[in-house]
Formats: sequence, C-alpha cells, structure tokens
Amino acid sequence: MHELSLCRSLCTSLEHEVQTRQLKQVLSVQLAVGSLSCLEPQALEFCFSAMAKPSALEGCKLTIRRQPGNATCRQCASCYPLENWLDPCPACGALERDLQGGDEVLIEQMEAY
Amino acid sequence: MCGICGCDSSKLAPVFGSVKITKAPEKTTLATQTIELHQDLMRSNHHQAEHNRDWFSHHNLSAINLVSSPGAGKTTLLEQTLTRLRGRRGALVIEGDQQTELDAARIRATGTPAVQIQTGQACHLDASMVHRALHQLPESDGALLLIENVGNLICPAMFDLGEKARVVLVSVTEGDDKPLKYPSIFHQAELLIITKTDLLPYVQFDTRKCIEHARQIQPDLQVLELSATRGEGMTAWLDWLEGQ
Ligand SMILES: [Zn+2]
Repeated sequence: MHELSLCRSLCTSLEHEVQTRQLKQVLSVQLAVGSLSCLEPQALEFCFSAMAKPSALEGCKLTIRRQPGNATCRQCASCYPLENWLDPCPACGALERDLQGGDEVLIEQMEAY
Repeated sequence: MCGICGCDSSKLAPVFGSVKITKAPEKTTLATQTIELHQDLMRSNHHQAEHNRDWFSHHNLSAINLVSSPGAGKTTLLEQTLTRLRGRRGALVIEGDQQTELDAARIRATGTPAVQIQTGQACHLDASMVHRALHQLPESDGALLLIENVGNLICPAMFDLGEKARVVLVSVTEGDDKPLKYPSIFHQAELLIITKTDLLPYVQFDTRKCIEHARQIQPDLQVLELSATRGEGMTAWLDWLEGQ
C-alpha cells in the first residue's frame, strides 16, 4: 500500500501550498501518473478521500491523468510512447528498449480560492 | 473483491477516472485560481536517497537492495552469504519488516551488525527509514551494506533507497511468470537470483521461461541460480558481491 505514503506526500504538498498562498479551499488537483508506475489509481483515490479531514482539502476533486513513458527501440532506434511493459516496438516488433519516464507522479495543477 | 477496502471492485469507476470526495465546498465569492505546480511527488524520497548515496560513497559502502515476495528466501540467502563472507569483507545489514525483530535476530546470530526497521503500515522501505537505520549501525568503512526490503514485489519498486544495485529474488516455488506480473521491480533490477533451485525436481517452474520473461522487461538483467541451503551457486553470488 505505497499509495498511502504517496497520499501523505500529496496532502503535505497541498497543505504547504495552502499555507504559503493563504488559500481557503482547494477545489481540485490534477496528478500525472506514469502508466509504467506501479500505482493503482483507485487505491490512490481511496487513500486521498480517507485522508481529507475537515480542512482546505475537504471535498477536493482528484483527477489522475495517465502519462505513457518514452521508449527508444534498441533494434531500430525508433521512439514511441510506451503504455504497457509488454507492448512491442510499433515499427519492428522488438521488446528491447531504453526508457525515459513512465514511472513519475507529478502534481500538475490545482484549482483553489 | 477489492483488496484495499473490501468493496465490490466491479462496481467502481474505471481505472484512471476521477473521484469526488466527501461534501462539495460551499459557494464563494472569492475568485478561483488555477495554480500550476509540476511537482514531483517522490521528490522528498529522491532527495533523501541522494543523501544516502553521499553517505555510502563517503564511507565507501556498497549498498545492495534485496527485493522479493515474502518467502522467496532473502533471509536464508543473507545468513548463508554472511557466514561465507566472514574474514573476506565486512558487512552490515538493514532488515525491513512490517512487524517483529525476528529476521534481525537471525542475522545477528551470524555475527553481523543488523538493524531492524519495523515499517508498520508501510509495505516497503523508503530512503528516510534507511537513513535513520544508518545512524544505528557501527561505522564500518568499505563494508557491504545488505538491505533486505519488506517482502513485496510492488511497493518497494517506487522507492529509491540510494542503493548501488537492486537485486530481485524469485524462488522456484513461485510462478515463472512473476516478471510479467510485477514488471516495475524487474525493470529496475541489475540482478535476478532464482532461489531454492534444489526444489526444481518437485515443482513446476521453467527457469528458462522466467529468465526470458524478466529480460523482456529488462534486457540487461544479469541472472544467477542458487540454492542457499545446499550451497550450490553461492560462489557466483559471492563473486558478484565482490565486484560491487
Ligand atoms: Zn524497433
């Protein structure tokens, strides 16, 4: 349940923004989650809702945007977005690749007043 | 059933949807603003992992992070490794478990200093837990630091501990499709160890297939096969450790 740890970081970051920007209420927050990360969006949502105590985060809508990784094929050098670990290179069908990204978790933006 | 909250997962929203929680905020006259953040949620762990890396290089420690599902034989492998390492190279151990000091007690019985981290709710070690454990270990420059992560192939994948190498263990009593089921952890590993090979005659495990699957995820993965209880394959493992 590493989603719990991540949600704790998420709430800490949001609370920090609330304090420094003197916000009253966070309406929504958008995350970009790499599709190759081992994060379960439903678990993330469940943890987030369980953690939103009466605070500026209560009622905040969590949106999770799936973001593929960038793969470079070791056989034919073509670059392609990778959604799933076992998707082959669309150009030559090879599986051997080098990856940039795909496992990141970013807080992209928040809506607040 | 969903393993997290016990609900009927078939009735839940699709994966990567969005969810609205608790009550909606009341109407306000204040202007709503959109704030761009682009913050890495893992950054505090990355930061701590870099700090650990500095510590390791300052003390010339080679930190190895051992990951596997529960029961793959990490502690037995460590016991046998430490017994054989005696007189060759100093070693330190950090043990991660949700509860109990049992594994650390087994390690200390080999004469190796060991710290047990009880992670409680968390099913993985993070960089700050390792950092705190480092302060409890004796100074031992040039040693091997073996970190036995919590038995779990999912959660530890996202947490960089600052280690030099990640080693993933699969025992022959598991399925040979483990790499396909838990790709993230295999993607980040330098070495795959297939353990309990003495049981191969009694189980349905295709070693060749397991290696093939793992290399589909990580083409550069090195592989060792061993039986820690029988001692077969241990020399190659000790040689690999020697090179770290
Ligand atoms: Zn290709």
